[in-house]
Amino acid sequence: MILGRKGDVQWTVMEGEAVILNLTNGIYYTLDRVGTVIWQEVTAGKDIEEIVKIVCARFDEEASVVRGDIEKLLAHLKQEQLIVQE
Amino acid sequence: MYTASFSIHDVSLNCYSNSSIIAEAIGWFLDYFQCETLSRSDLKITLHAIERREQCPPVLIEPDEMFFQHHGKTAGDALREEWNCSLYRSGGQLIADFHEQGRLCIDHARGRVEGDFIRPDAMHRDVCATYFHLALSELLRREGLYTIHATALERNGHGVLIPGSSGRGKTTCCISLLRGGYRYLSDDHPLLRENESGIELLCFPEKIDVTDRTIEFFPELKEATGNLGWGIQKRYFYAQEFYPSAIVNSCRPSLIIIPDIDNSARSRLVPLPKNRVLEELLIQGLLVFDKEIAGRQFETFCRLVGGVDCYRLSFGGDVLELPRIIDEVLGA
Repeated sequence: MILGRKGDVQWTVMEGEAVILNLTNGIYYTLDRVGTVIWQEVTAGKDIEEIVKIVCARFDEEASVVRGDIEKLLAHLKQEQLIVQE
Repeated sequence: MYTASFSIHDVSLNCYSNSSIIAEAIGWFLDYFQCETLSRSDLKITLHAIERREQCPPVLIEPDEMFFQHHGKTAGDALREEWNCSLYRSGGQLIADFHEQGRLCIDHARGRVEGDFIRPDAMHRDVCATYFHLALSELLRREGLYTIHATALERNGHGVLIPGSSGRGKTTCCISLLRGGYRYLSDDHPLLRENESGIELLCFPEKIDVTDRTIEFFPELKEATGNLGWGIQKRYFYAQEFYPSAIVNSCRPSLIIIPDIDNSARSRLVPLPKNRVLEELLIQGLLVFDKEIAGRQFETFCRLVGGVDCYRLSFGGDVLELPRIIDEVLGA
C-alpha cells in the first residue's frame, strides 16, 4: 500500500508541529510531534510498513505499540481527504 | 451613474453605482485611497440599488458548492430583522448572498464584482461598507494583497500586528499604542503583501469603533465622548483626531501579538509557539475560494510567522502601560 498526499493540500512545520490546510474546503489541521513525523513520511511517499519502522526508531517504541495508532491516524487523514491511497 | 477611482497600494480600482447612497458609503470607506484619475483599471466594482430581491439576476447554485451559511438578527437595517449570508460558487464566481439585503457576484479571474443592494436607503452606511469590503478583499487577494482581521501599528520601522476575533482587546491595544506614539496602519483590516524584498504590512486606515468600556480606559476619549461619532452599535473616531502620529503607509512586520483579556492588574507578554500564531492568522484571514490564491496566501502567512517574534498578551488592567511593554520586546 502506497500513501500519497492530495494535491489540494498545503502544509508547513513550525515548532516541530505540522499545520495542514485543505484547499478544497478551507479547513486546517494541526498535528502533534509524532503525527508530524508520520505526515512528513507520508508526504515523502513512504508506505505504512516504512512509517512504522521510522516511528519506532525515532521514538524508541515497539512496532506492536505504534502500528495501531499510525493506522488510526492514516485512516483519519484519508477520511479528511488529506491523503489518498495509491 | 456615480463613479469613483481609488489606488490601493498600487492596485487601481474603479467603482460604479446608480445610487448616491452606495457611492457615498464607498467614498467614505475608502477615503484615504481616493484619487482623481487612473491610468489603468485593475479592478472594477459595480453596485446597483434595486427595490426587490426579484430584480437580482438569477444564478445557478451547483450541488456541493455552498460552503458557508449563517443567519442572525440584523443590525443597522431599518427594513429587515433577519440577517442571512450564504457563500457559494457558481459558474466560476464567488457569490456572497445576503438574501433580502442583496447579493455580490465576485469574479476573481476578471477582477470584477457586480452586485445589487436591495433598498440601500434602509441600510446603515456601515452595512453597505461591510458588504463592499468583503467584495474588495476578495479582489485584492487576487492581486496579492491579503486582508487580515487585525490591528496594525508601527514604530521606528517595526510593524506590530495584533490579530484576534472581536472582544479580545485589539482596539484597546491599538489606542494605547497610538497614544504612546506608535503610528497607525489599521484598526481592523491591514493588508499583507509579499514581493522580492520580503513581506510588507500595508495600511488600511478606517474609523476606530469603540465600546463604552474601551472609552473608559482613555481620559481623552472619555472627555470627548459626546463628540465621538455614532455607528451601528459603537461610537467611533479617527486616529488623527486624537493622536498626533501620522498614518504610515507601509512597514516590515516585526512582531505578532495575540491578545487575551485577563483580570490581573498587570499585563505581560508570553512567547507563543509559531504554529499557534499561524492558526490564528488562518482563522482571521483565509477564506478559501480559489485554491491557487489561497495556497499563495498560506505560504505568505507561513513566511510572515516564520520571520517575526510572536507573543501572547495577557492584557491586564494597566492598559496605558502597553507601549512600554511592547517597546521592550520590539527594542524600539
